[in-house]
Amino acid sequence: MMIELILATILIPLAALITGFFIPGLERKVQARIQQRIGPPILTPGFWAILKFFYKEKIKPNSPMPRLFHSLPIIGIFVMFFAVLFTTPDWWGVNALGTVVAVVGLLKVIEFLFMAIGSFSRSILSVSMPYADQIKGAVMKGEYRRFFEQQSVIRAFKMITVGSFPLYLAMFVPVVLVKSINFSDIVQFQGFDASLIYPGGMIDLMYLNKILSLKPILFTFPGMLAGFVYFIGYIMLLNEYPFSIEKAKSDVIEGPSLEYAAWARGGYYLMRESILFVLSSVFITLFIGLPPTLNLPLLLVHCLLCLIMPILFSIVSAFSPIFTFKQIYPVSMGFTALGFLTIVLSLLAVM
Amino acid sequence: MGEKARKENAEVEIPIGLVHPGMLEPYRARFFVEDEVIVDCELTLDPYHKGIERIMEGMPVHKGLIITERICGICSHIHLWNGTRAVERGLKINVPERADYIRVIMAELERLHSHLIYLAHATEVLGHETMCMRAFTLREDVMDLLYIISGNRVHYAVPIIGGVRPRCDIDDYRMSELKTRLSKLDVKIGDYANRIINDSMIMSRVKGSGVLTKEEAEKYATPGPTGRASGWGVDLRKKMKEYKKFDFNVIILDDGDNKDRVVARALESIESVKIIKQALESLPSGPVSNRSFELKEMKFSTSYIEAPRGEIYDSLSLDETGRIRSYQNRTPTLTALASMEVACIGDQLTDGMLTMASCDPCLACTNRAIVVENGKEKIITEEEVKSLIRGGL
Repeated sequence: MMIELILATILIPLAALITGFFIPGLERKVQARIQQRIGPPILTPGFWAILKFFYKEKIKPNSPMPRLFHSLPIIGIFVMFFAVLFTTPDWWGVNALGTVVAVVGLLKVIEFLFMAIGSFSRSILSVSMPYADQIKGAVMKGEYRRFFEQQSVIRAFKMITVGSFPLYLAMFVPVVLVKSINFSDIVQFQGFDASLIYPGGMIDLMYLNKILSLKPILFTFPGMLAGFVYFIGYIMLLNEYPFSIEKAKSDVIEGPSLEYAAWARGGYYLMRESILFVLSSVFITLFIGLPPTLNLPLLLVHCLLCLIMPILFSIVSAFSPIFTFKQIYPVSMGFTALGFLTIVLSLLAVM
Repeated sequence: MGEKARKENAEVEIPIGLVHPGMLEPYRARFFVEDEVIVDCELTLDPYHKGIERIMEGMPVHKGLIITERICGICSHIHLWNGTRAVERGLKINVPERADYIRVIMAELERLHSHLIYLAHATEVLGHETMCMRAFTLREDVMDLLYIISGNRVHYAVPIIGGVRPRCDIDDYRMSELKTRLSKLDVKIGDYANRIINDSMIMSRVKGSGVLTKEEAEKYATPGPTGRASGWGVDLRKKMKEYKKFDFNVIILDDGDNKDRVVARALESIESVKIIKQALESLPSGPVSNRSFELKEMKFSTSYIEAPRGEIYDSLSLDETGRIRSYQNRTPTLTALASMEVACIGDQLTDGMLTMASCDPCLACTNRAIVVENGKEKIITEEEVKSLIRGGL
């Protein structure tokens, strides 16, 4: 049991990392094809670019706390690895961590991390640009001059308050349907039997057959609605188009992460890849009923299913402009209302 | 909201630039915002100067005029044409009709090129990479045509005093290429504009943002399509003798918002294709240049022309040996700056940058510098400029 726990703790984050290497490339490839371009090789943005960053000259960031600023993406990566571990059968028994509430808590940490990153960054591209713009005759007002990153932090805070509802509401639809916050109960409800799996590389044909006989929540009416709401919430939490106001290139450029360079930028991209994988993985566990396990064929199927959501969101991104808060508020409110409706429908379904 | 009220409402300042990926050129935009809403804006220019007007002084007019192309990398032909036109008007040089047609064809191709870059840039600032890429794809055909006629993609050097360069004459091959490639371009641009107008997500961003009223456009003399999108209908092409023979519409829209500025450019592009098609159909035969003129002293001669971004003014004088005594040029962006500052008030910060882009600024063409010391103009050396920059101006 202990060996399996150790193996799961090492191998599943590794699988997440390897799958994550492919996700940015797939995103870019899909968008490029929509734009009638060839696009980069699949592994270039997610792996080779990061490897390149690790070999670049180390640059001290313009930050009041450079070490903490540099360590935040690493913290983010670990937080995400724990989030995916909490959904694995081997961790379900560890201090009751295998619950939806625990994963929601970790996702909240990630949302807060973006605010923390922005708070510790002071890029040269705005206030500290060496240009004499407060010369005689220029308008001299506004006692406080704000860095891009600080503006991004305000946007991140707004997104936490209005933008994160859809995702969390959708995550609780399976909870309501199953009447349990435990991942074990949720996947069991959908036909997954953890006792039948065993670690190893052999293909268990009997179990692969069982995957086809799963009864995913996604294929119920509340599940479909929740899946749709989850998808929108997923894009919002990732700060991707059209909800990428936190890092809108037209004004705040890269937003909180503007000062990351060299290995720190590589780390930041790894954190993003981890978030992309984990949010997809949690969706597969909650709505398809297939958690990441030590059984390699099942893990492979799980990782392949995790690629679907990034592909879908890259299609949406390719056809979307950036929304400002004028558009984000009504869209977010609309999907929050849909999330509530789905919860109500789920309650009616179990009554 | 009055100016005083605006100033009192400004909570913080968000300075953007000089170096910024949302800007095509270096300039400083200082946005004064209340939460995310812009209550005031100030643009600060002058990070660089080309010194073209000064460089041209004393140069032989043929050489000097070529430098006017370097004023802008997008509308280079129109600058050279206007400079040449000023000399031709001053020295009363007749230009063959065929040359005028070729100049118009080049100017309209350049307008297409400029408007398509505009559409690409505006959609990029909007965050819509796919529409940006599609605009660039459309532009590529136009760039090929400019290359086929002139042999270059940026600085075409087509007009010369008295006509156009013989190498730029439109022969059978060029005629067939132009006709083939232009045959579907207006439809493609129309489809592109329809895609933008029918996309509710794009419309939610551009409709009602960056509003510049007709009164404001008149007050600040907003040039070109930006002014026309606000209902202020000034198009110098309707007054130019070179355009008299062509039938085309001046696109005037009413709302004056970002949507209208984008749509105005798309519709103007379709009109440009119309003009080129007419010019190709009725291209007169004959010489493309008149070389029987004599360069002599010329007092100030001026010329106005409708460039893709609006009105360009050139003023030129020559000495008795045909060298340039003085040259002045005013680009459309100079009068668009005040409009840009006004139009973005009331927008979200992100929309403010879109409004800036939608007014189509070309700041490299606009920057001028005169050093005045003790009431007299002073020329400063390169070293002095460097030392000024090092000292933070």
